Amino acid sequence: MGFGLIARLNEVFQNLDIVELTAIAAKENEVKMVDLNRDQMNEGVASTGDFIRPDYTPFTVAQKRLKGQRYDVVTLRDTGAFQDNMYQTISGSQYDFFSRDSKAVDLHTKYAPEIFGLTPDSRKKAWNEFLANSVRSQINTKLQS
Amino acid sequence: MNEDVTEIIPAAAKEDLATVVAFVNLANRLMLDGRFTKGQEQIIVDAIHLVNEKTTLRPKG
Repeated sequence: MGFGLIARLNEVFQNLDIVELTAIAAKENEVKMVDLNRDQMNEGVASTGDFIRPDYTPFTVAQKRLKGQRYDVVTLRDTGAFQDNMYQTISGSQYDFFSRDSKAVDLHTKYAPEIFGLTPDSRKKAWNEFLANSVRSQINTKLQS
Repeated sequence: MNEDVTEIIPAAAKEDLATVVAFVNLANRLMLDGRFTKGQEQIIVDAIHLVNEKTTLRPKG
């Protein structure tokens, strides 16, 4: 670029929408975003940061104990189908998680919508570990185009 | 449960980007005002890149 480079940089920067870039970054990193939600579930934590409630019934605890599964917190994991079929949707600046598993609606109803979503710590992790890099890369691409 | 990506972006990153945008805008206005010659443009562009590198979207702990 020759003369007018500053004008060009100015044009690019004035039109940057960090929210839009972050939504694109979240979409590009769907697997990592879902992993963060899944990691929370495996610790029994909802997006509010609170433990997922209600606790497992004594019957479920007994079953999980026999299977060698974690039962001290509600992980929503038994066969793994529910967690393994989780996905993320992006609409505008909104992001959401759900699962294609047949138990998804029941679990969503029994526990809370907050089983899906990221805690403040997970959001910070998402930004620091991959979203910021993706946003930075998008800005660099725009600057070079 | 819908959440907004706005909640993921740290305030510091928004401020950093605003700083770069303001810096570039200022440089552009000074250029338009004839404060810089064509030969000086690269110096300003290098400064813009430096500001961008040092501030933009740096992860915050």
